[in-house]
Amino acid sequence: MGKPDQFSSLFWFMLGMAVTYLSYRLGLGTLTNPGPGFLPFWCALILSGLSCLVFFHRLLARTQGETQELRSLWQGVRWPKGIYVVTAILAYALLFTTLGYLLSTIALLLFLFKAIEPQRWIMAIGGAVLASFVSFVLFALWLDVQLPRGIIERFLF
Amino acid sequence: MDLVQNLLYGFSIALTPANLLYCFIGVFIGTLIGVLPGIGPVGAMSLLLPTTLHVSPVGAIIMLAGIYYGAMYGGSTTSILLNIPGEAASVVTCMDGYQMARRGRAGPALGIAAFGSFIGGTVSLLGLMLVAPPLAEGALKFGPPEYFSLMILGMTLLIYLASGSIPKALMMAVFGVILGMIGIDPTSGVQRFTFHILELNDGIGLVPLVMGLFGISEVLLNVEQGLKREIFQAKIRGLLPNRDDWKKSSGPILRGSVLGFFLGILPGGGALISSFVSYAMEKKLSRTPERFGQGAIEGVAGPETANNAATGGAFIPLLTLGIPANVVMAMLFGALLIHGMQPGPMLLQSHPDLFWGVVTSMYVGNGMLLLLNLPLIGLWVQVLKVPYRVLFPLVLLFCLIGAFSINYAVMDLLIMIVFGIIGYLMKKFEYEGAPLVLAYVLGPLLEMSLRQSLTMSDGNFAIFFTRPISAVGIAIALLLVISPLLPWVGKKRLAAGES
Repeated sequence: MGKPDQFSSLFWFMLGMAVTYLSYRLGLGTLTNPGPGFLPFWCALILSGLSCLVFFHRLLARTQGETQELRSLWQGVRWPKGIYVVTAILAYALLFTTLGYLLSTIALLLFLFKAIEPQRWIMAIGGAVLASFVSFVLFALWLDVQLPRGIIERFLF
Repeated sequence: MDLVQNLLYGFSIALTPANLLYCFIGVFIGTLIGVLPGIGPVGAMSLLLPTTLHVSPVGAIIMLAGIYYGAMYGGSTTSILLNIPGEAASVVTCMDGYQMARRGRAGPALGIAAFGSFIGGTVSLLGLMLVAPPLAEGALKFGPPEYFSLMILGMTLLIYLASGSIPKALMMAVFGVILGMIGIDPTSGVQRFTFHILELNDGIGLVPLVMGLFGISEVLLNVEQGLKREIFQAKIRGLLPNRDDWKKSSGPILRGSVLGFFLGILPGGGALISSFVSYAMEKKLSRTPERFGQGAIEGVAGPETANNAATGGAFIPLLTLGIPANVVMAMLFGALLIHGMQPGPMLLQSHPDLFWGVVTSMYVGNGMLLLLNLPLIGLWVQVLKVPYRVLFPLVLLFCLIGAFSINYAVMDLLIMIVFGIIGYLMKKFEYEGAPLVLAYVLGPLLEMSLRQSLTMSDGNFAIFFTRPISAVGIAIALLLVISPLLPWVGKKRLAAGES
C-alpha cells in the first residue's frame, strides 16, 4: 500500500487537525475538571500523529521501491455498480416518506434487480413486488413498525 | 445449591413459549447468516436490533445471542462445502474441512463440526455460570480508574490482534472514541460536533453506524467484485462421525472447549483468535502434523469447538464488568442500553432474570442448533444456491428498514449510507472496522471514567498507576502498544498475520 496509504493518512491528518481545533474551542477545562473538549482534543492529536507516522512510513517504503497507485484499488472491479447502489439508496432515503413505503421500495428493488446484475423483466418486477409486499406485511403489520404510508398503502390497507 | 436454584430460575424464563421462539429465531437466522457469505453475525445483529425493540429485554438478548453462536455453527457449512468461510471464525475450518469434503467425507466433517460446536458451547456455558457471579461481586470493588484501564486494555488487545497495521487499527479506535462523543456532553450540556443538526444531539446511533460499516459496505464490495460461488456437488452422506473420527477428535474437542472459553474472556479475543490458536495447537500436538491441510478431522474438530466455546467466555466481561470483549459483544452492549439496562456488576443483582434467562437459553439454543444443523444440511445447501444478485437487494432493504425503524428518522438512513461509504473506503484502504465500533461503544464510558478518576485524584494521573488493578491494565496495554516495535515480536506478528 503505497500511494493509497499516503492519501488516506493525509485525510486522517486533516480530520484530526480539524477536530483538535474544534475541541480546543469547546474548552479543555482543567485536569481537576476536564472540559467537554478535553478527551476529543487529545484523541484528535493522537489521530493526527499516527497519520503522520503512516504517511512517512509509506514515503520511506516508496523510496525503497514499494509502490502502489491509488487507481489500482479500483482496477478490475465494477466500481460503477457501487455508485449505482449508493445513488439508489440515497434517492430512496430522500423520497420514501413522500412516496410511501410500497411504491418507493418496489422502485428501488426493481432498479437493483435490473441495474446491477440484469435479470429478466418478469423476474425483476415479480421479485420487487413480492419482496415489497411481504416485507410490508412482516414489518408494518406484524411487527408494528411505522413505515410511511403512501398511495398504495392507503388504497389497500 | 444457589447455582441449582439459579439454573432452575433461568430455565423457568428461557422455556417460556415466547423466549423459546426468540431463541429459535435467533439461532435459525444466525445459522442462515453463518451459511451465507457476505454478511456476518455483526451485520445480522445490526439488521435485527431494531426489531428487538418490540420484544422484552430478555427476549431481545436471547435472540441476538442466538444469532452470534448460531453463526458459528452455520459458518462451518460454507467452509466445508464451498471453501469460503461463512464468517470470519470459520476461516480455519476451510483448510481441512474442504479437503475432507473433496475426499467424500463432507458428512463426517459437518457432523464433527456440529457436535464439537455443541460440546464447546455447553462447556463454555458451565464456565460462564461458575465464573460470572463471583467475578461480578469482585467487580463491585472496581472504581473509575480500574474501569478506565480495563477499557484501554480491551481496546489495545483488539488493536494488537488486528490482522493488519497496528497504527491504522489504533487510528480507527481513536476515531471511534471521537465518534462516540458526538452529541450533547452529559456533564456540561455542551453540544459537541453536531454542527447545529438537531438529530445529532443524541449522537450517532449504533444501529445506523454498524449497519453502514458492516452491512452496506459489504454489499458495495461484493457488488463491484461480482461474487460467484461453486458448491461442492457430491451427495452428502453419513453425517455421523465413525468411531475412529471420535477417537481422533475427542482430544481436540476437549482442548478446544477450554482454550476457546478462556480466550473468549479476553477483551479483544473471541471466536476468531480461538479458532486459529486451536488449529495451531492441534497441529503442534499431533504426531502426524503433515496430515493437517490435507483433510485431518482434528483440524475441523478443534477450531469449531473453540470458536463456539469462545462465545460463552465472551459474555463474561460484558455481563460482569460491563465491558464488551469484542465487536459482537459491543452490539449486545448497545442492545442492553437501548432496553434501558446498564451492563456491569450490578446487572446480575438488578436483573437476575436477564443473566440466568440468557445463560440457560444458550443451553437450549445449543441443543436447537445441533438438531437444526444436522438434518437441515440439505436446506442450507439449497440456500447457498440463491444467487447474490437476488440476495443483496433484500439485505439492503433490511438495512434501510432497520435503520429507519429506530427513531423513524430519515437522518438515520443518511447516517447509515454515509457510514456505508466510509466502511467501503475503509476496507479498500485496509482500515479495520472492529476497533472503531468497540471504541465508539466504550468512548462515552471511557470519558466518564477518566473524568471521575481525575476528579478523585485532583487532576493527578498517578491514580492510574497507584491502584494495582489499574496499574496492571495500563502496563499490559503499554506493553502491547510498544511490543511490535521490538524486532523479534514485530517479525513474529507479521509472520502470524501472513500465515
